[in-house]
Amino acid sequence: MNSTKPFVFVIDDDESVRKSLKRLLNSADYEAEVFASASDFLERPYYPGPSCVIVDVQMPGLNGIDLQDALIQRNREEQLVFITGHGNIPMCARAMKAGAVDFLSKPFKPRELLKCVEQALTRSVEQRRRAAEKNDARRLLDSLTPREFEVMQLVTTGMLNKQVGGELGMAEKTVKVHRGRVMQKLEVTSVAELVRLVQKAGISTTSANGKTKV
Amino acid sequence: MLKKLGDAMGARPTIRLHSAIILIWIASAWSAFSQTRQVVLLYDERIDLPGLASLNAGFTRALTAGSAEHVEIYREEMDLSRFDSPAYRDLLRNELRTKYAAKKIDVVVAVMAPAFEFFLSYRDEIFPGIPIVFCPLDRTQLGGRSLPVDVTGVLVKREFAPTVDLVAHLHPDTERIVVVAGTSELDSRLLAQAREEFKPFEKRFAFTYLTNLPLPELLSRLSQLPPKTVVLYTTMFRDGAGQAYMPHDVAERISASANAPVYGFLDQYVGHGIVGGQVYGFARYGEQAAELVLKILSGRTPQQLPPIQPANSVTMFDARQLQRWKINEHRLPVGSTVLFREPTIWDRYHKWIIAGASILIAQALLIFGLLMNILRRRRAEGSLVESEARFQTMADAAPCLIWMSGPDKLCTFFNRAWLEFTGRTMEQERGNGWSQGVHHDDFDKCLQTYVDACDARQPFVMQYRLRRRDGEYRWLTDKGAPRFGKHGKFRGYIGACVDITDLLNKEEEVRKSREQISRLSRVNLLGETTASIAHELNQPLTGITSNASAAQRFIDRGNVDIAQLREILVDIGADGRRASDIIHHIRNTIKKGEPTREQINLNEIAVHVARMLQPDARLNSCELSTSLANDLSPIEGDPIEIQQVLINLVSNAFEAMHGIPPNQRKVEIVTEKNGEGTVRMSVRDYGAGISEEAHRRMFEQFFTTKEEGLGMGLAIVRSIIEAHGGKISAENINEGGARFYVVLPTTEK
Repeated sequence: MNSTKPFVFVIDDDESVRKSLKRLLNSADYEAEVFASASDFLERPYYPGPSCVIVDVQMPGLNGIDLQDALIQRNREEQLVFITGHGNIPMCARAMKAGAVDFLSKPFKPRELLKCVEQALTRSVEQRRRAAEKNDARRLLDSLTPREFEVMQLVTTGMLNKQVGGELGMAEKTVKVHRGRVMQKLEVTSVAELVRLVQKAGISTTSANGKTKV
Repeated sequence: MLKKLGDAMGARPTIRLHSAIILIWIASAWSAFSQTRQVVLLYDERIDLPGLASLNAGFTRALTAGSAEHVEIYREEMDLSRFDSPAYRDLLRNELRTKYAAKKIDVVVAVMAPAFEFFLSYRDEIFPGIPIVFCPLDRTQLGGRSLPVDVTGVLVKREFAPTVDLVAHLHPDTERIVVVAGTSELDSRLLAQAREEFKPFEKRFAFTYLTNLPLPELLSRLSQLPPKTVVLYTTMFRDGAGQAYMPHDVAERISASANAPVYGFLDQYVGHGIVGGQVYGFARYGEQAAELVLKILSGRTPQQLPPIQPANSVTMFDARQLQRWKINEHRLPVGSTVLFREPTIWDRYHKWIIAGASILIAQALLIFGLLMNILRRRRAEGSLVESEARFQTMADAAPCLIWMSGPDKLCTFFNRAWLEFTGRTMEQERGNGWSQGVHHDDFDKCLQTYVDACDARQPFVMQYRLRRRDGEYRWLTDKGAPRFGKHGKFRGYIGACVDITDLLNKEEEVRKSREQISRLSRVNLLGETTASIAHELNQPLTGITSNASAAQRFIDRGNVDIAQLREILVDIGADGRRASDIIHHIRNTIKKGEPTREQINLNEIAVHVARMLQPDARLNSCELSTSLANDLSPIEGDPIEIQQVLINLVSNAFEAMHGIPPNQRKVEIVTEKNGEGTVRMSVRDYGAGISEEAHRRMFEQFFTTKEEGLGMGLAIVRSIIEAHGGKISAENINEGGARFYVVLPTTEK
């Protein structure tokens, strides 16, 4: 896990707004970096640490909503705080649905913005942590052979070895061997631990009807 | 001799020229304002009856004098009392319907009750929906009926009692009054009213009613009246024997036969033997009907004009009859009119006259012989006189006010229309008398223009207010031109005036509504760009609040960097100014005020609008650029309006590119010199271009290609540009998009 310090990015085409926001963030002890356009920001190397992006909705070229789409397409999960000179409800709803932290109308209360930044950074830290865990879990799961993966999936649904063998057309004894290897490779000692690991990796499990789903 | 003849001949072309000039003026004065209006007069009887004749004359006179437009008058004499069969009425109806089917009649005037009744029965077939003016109608003839909304007219007020008062005053020893009347329906109705009014006098006079006798018997009875008797005659269209008569003929005959003075109630009887009476006159009814017609022609509806009931009676006497009955004129009531004052010389001295005339004729023949020679030589001058007479006739017939002045600047002639307009006499108006009617505020300017033009011998056009006979000041436009005689000798001026008051009022209305629309559209435009305005204003506000908050935190933390604090304050100040600038621009855009005229640099407008619409451009993902010519000549106009034009064109350009990929969206504002005396401003977009239909109709009101558009934008733009003496056009560009051009005249020649 990286333990880099939090960073706030400000994207606004208005110089006065950029400058004043950087000052405000500095006064609250945040590191801030400003951009005049969304494309300038996208050109910057990805910052892996906890971060928050304050972005103006209306801008020439790529606007704030476009930026949000672009980040989602690239699987980047920056925490966005939108600011707007004249927003409307559909625009706001769209931004919030797509995961924005908040949507502030200019001129906003500086304290409100700082609160949003704090919230965004908290979410970012949490999200970074979850991402790291997911990466670890996935790496472990990647070490399983296809057969072992199948056995693991059925085991996480709560089936007994005999049932698993019936489902996969193999002897109960063989199932037992696979299962042992799985537990060993995934460094878990119980089915409960196994289920938690699979969830962390972002793979859903179900036991309602005995069927499995990936 | 020969030289004189030459002089006289030389004068002829000048006179002709004058006539031509006048004709041209009349024509130009007309064509500017004329629109032929058509009025039908429907007479129940023949117009040659004296009452109708004077009504007709009064109507025609008042209508032509009061209308700036040409009014065509059609007259229909229905002769209803002599021909009253239903078949004839059907025939009349068909005839009128066919006759006027293709005419666009503005007003119909129904004269007298029978015409009005006829008309009410058939109007839907003959003149559907056309306003009616009746004239004159007794209130009782209307009965309890309520009038249709598009009907108004002149109500008659007949009074009989005042004449009895008059009789009592002029003949104090009167004991008997004989009332003479006929038996027709109208005769009986009027008599009934008279009887009612006579009731209060019955104690004082013994009334005898001779109303059922054949005329010969009546006349013989009237010739044997006892002394101290006075005859009152109402009307007789038909006598006791059923014989039809004209009331004024009867007046003449009973006056001749009666051995007592006869008094009557109609002005047309005066001169036909009656002494006089308080009479009412048809000419005034005609004039009043004409006034109603004029109001309707000028746009009022009959609904707004309730029927009028004027007091038309005047006290009128025949001087010859006063003499016959030895009534001293001094005893007549104040304000009485006495007609036929001069007893004819022929009556008194015809023998002497015949004798004297014989001698005179003999002398005249001699003189005539001598004069023939001279006359022959003066024939040219004769035609000059004829020409003057022709001029006079023409001037009097002209619907505009015409005046003429001599080389000494004093006025010498005013046509009939002028005199009727001012209600003054030629003598009062001559010299500088006319200027008394000029409005006080216009007087100096009016006189100055005239005197200056006179001194320079130049034609002039001026506007001033002149007092009409009713005391109202009316705006006239007066075109004057110098007259020149032989060898270019200055002879004075001739001028023609037209009443333009109504026209001015209309112009004012149109101007006001244009301003209103233009302001509304500016507000509307603002509504559409609210997003950009809010955005624009919120930027500096955000800067201010963030900076202020940052500064506060720095101070609270204790590590104050004075230099940084100063920088923050400078930025706050700049943002504050920026916000107030924006508000100032908005106020300028929507403020309502008199349109101003000032020198404008189109480049400044272009820069201003480009800056103002920059946020809008951003919202539309569009690039907005300007390309401005150096040394552009200024134009004259209202900067706000020109700005509005440009905002409109640029906003349209933004909208034109909605279907175009954002990176191709561009709008250019270009200013350039455009040949002699004009500059050109254009707005180019890179959209889909203008469709053929839109190109044809886009400057029309309410034409729009937008779903939510009103279709007023370009119509207003065009009206603004045209009000500035400019032109607007549009074209598609081969490389894509469209360009709107505005060409405006510069103030530099």
